[in-house]
Amino acid sequence: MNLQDLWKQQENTGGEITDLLQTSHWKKGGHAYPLKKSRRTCSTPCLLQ
Amino acid sequence: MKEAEFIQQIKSNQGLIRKLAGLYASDPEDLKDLCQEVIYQAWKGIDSFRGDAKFSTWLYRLALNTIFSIKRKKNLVDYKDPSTYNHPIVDESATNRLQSEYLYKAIRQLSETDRAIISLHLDGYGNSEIADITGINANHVGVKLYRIKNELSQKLK
Repeated sequence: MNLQDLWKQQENTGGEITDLLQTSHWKKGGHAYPLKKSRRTCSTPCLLQ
Repeated sequence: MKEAEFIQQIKSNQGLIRKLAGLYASDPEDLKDLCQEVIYQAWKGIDSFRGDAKFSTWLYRLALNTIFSIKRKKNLVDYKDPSTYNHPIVDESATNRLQSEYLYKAIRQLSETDRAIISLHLDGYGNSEIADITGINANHVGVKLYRIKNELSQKLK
């Protein structure tokens, strides 16, 4: 397997990040910062939930 | 692009986002933050995607710009894991997954710019495209790639 294939394989590791689509306020600018704080404490209902 | 299509594109390219963010974040929470920020910035700037390039190409550029910007602002701890990257691949029966991990860890040890250049190269982008995305002269990209490959081969020996 060449380097390109090995590199591509990394896209299949590490689990899903699509949960961020549900849990993050990616559509609302005011809720994006600070990111960690917003993800942990923001109580605004997510639009996708 | 409508929201449903955007979400589908993000889902299709989530491996790319995670792979790039993982090159620049050592902490799992920082990694999530970078991924989250890339998604957020992508949505915010989706109007600049006109469809004349692949969505993944547009996202690649945006992701790198976002990651570099965040790192400058938040001074994220850079990835340092010298205890693991320099394990040589001596077992020829090592799985591809293991080799892939070694490669990834070796790339993480490169400079920030070099990480971006080699990731673009390994994802099939030509020197002119890499130059366009990174803002580095195309000839210089070629020189840097030659040096990066040598460095990587040393790390992976």
